[in-house]
Amino acid sequence: MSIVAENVTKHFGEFTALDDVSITVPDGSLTALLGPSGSGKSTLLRVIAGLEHADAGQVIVNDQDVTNQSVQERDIGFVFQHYAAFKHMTVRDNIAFGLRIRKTPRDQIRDKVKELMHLVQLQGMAHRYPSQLSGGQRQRMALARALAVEPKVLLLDEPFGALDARVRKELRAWLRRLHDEMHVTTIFVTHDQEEAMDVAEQIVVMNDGKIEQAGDPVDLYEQPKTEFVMSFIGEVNKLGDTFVRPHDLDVMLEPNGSTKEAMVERVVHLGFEVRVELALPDGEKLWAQLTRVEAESLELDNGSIVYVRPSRRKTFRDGRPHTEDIQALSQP
Amino acid sequence: MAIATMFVSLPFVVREVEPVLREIGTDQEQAASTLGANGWQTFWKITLPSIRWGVTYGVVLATARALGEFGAVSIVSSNVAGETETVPLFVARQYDLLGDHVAGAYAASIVLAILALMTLFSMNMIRRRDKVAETPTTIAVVPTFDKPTKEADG
Repeated sequence: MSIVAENVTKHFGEFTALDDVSITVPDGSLTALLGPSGSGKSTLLRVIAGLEHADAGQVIVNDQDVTNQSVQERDIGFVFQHYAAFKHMTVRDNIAFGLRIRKTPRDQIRDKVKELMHLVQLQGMAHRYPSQLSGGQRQRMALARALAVEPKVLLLDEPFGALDARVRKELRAWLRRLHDEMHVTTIFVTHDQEEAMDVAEQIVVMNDGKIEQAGDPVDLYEQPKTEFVMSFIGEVNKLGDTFVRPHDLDVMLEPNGSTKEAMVERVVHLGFEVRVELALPDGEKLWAQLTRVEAESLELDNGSIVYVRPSRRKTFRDGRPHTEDIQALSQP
Repeated sequence: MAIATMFVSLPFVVREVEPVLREIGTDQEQAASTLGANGWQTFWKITLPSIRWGVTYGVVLATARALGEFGAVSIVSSNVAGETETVPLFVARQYDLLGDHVAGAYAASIVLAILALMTLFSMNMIRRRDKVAETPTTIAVVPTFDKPTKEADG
């Protein structure tokens, strides 16, 4: 089921949460809505779900205009950031809720719940209450509850936001596998660019109630259309109006025609990656991302003088992106 | 009489329920609506069970207050004997008549005292259940995690 939102606008009082936003989510895809808090990504998801009503614009699911349908009629699965588990019900009753509302026969409910508990790896926890589950288990239960009614589309609002880093990574991989098995059209909201790149096939970057850019992860990283996307997806150094990725910064011990002198302020070892924090003579700060081997061969130390040069840089003059690749220069 | 009693006792229910409602928020209700539940279904299956101890506790408190209320009823209901009269008013009236009526006053007082004790007792019981309900780890733990065959039986 494809999802289309067309020219959606939503105000909360004076605040414009969504400003003429249009997105298309292809059938069976996994799309991330990515943006900082207040960018309108959750609001857009809630408009698609029917939990909020747009001031203007349409929501079309599977070529059918659902703009005026209530949330109950839309047949969606929704997962909340803070689980929204029914605290007074056991895991089994939580998962069965949607089916009971639909007056599904008991034996069918039993089979479906069993199947879902297996799918979300909560076997044997049927009689526990949400308060007896960990965060990750609660969120898996919430996902099973949403999937029980076989929704047309699955909408996840920062589903892993309240979990710790390790569980978040596990669930990410698990969601990815689940999606590969089920092929339900899925939209999930996140403010974590790594999470979006890891899980999604398509990323829609939002800022200030508008869409900055939509595309696959590689596209967004390599061909950002705006300064915002450039700096929100991946790390970046900003030098005047030029943007340089830390891994596109060559660090050398000898000057060369096009290099600039810089002083090493700090060397941070992060395992495979080494961050070198640098200061230019005019006081501007930047950092370079080196591999451990590169860093070791340079024998960098706090206070040593190095010469840096971007191998690729981007500018966004007149609102248009411009990429400049500087070919490998003759070695000194 | 009834209106005056409600006026002084119902706020107890509100005062008990309001913070509970505030604490549970609207997430669970929204989740129910995404699963297809309409307003009534959401209220009966989600909202009411979540606030049930708050409501019960509030009702018990309101009952206690209603039993003992004197001033508001006496002034608003004009205190007509046998018609717009509550037990505390009856006790006061009988006691004022002196003679044999004093016995009646004492009898009614004892009934009141017993009702008050019962209320206190049930309030304590509810309180205890409420605490247990908040931490269900202490009860209702069915150790099914090592017996995966007993799962999901409907």
